[in-house]
Amino acid sequence: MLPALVVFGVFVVAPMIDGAWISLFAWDGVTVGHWVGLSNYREALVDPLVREAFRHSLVLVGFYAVLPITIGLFLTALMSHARVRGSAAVRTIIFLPQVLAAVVIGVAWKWLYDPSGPINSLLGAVGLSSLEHSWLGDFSTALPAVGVIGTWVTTGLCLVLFVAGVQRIPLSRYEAARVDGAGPVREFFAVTLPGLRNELAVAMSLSVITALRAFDIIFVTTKGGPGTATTVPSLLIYQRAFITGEVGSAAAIGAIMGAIILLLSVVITRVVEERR
Amino acid sequence: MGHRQKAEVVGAFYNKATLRRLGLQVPTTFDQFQQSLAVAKSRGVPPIMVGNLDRWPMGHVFMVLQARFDQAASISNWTYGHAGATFDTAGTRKAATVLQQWSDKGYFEDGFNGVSQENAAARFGKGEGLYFITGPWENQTFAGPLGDGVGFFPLPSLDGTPGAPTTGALSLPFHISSHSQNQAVAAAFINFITDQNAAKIVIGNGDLPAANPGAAAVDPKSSLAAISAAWSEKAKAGTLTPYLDWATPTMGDTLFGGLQQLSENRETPADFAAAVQQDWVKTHS
Repeated sequence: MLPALVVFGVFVVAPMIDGAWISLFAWDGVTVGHWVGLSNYREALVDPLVREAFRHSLVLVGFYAVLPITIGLFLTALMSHARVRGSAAVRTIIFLPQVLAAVVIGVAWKWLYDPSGPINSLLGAVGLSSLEHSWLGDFSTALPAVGVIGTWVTTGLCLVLFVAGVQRIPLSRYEAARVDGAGPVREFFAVTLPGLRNELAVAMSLSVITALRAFDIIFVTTKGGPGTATTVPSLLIYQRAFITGEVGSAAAIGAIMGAIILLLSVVITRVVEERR
Repeated sequence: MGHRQKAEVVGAFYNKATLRRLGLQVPTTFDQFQQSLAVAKSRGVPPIMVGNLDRWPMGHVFMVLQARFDQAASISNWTYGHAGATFDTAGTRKAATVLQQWSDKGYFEDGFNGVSQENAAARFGKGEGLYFITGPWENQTFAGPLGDGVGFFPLPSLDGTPGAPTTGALSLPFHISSHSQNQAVAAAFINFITDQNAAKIVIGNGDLPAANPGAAAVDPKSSLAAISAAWSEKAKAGTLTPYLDWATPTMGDTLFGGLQQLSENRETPADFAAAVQQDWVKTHS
């Protein structure tokens, strides 16, 4: 235990305390900062841009967590019910985004979303040219467009977790359900879903955290634009800490974000995870 | 003072073959320039290619427009943070209005706020579009595939008088720290990347060096020759206006984000000018 604790203390706990300490100063990152108490927090909480960024995070939770879990559960139900030919290949393909670097993903999707890129070409080819869009450039579609990238990335993780979890559920329960005359839908809600509680908790925690600290894909694709339509808290932290020299403010937003993530993780684990 | 490797002047790159095909000539007044945009649009050619997903490219379009409509001294004073300077001038609002009109009339390529600069530049290099308003750093992307088929001119002034101010500057300078233990080596290195020989290499890569290696080093038919001529003229006459995003640390986000709003009609020119000025006041008060 001790070596692990030391590593954890040096690389996780100490920087967290340091960050919280910095958030109490007005500091440009280079010269000597001065103590401002909680005013960085007060300013962050009333800053309309910070509030907007957190609202965007909430939308991203839908795309990074709710959608992937729903899709993952649906695919799991399909795969566990029938022996689908080539399901291992499907699993691998869906999991693939997890092993790609976010920058690669961002660049690839930037090209897919280009007004003259493949997505619009495809829409045009099937006669839906009225739906063609400047996906990342339009104020109304930019955030969902970035969100869909997140869905694409996170679905694989959820699926792999759920498929592994299903294999742990005793076959006898499925047999019992079938003997009682349960159809595939009933079977899913009576056997599969309850059996996946722990996996669900893990998938929810991981994906919600990914959504709240989303940075890389947005930085590579839209840099928070158009206007501020895709600005998220981590982007503000980056800008304030490394570009505009407002390290205290950046640390305060980081601390707020950390607190929210911690709170949500506790809630998810408490509510969803199975008691032993 | 640091030492610079390259020089930058923002203007319009144009596709010579497309210009000819549209029956147009290089415009010498701002009105002619706007007419050429209308002609291109009516013939189905994207008038101005711009990849504004990266946010800054439209900034250059705006800056050269502002240099047409506002006083050069006012732009410099504001950028360098002189007391009492303001962005919220009639000229700035006029420039913002023209940019918004261009967007309304479809003078920028379709969906420009969702196109990355590298995609837009690559497609211009493949012959798409009539104009690309940017600086010499993109020259090779165009001249590589198009060769002498791409030309360059600084945007003409309102009344067509030559020598009008336009956006440009020497590239970011290299400095040596006074605490450096190897100042002589650092100086030798800076010398190496900025001397006449380095200038020839910069030219060989289609870019504009700060050190003048003489006109003979540049092919007179190339776009680089036109860029070099524009730079020499503006630099000698002192009519270069600085990049606006130098004004404050947050100006890049404020200005470029604002231009995205402006170009999609989500902000009026007056609101845009006021928001940019507000950022400036925050830093300079």
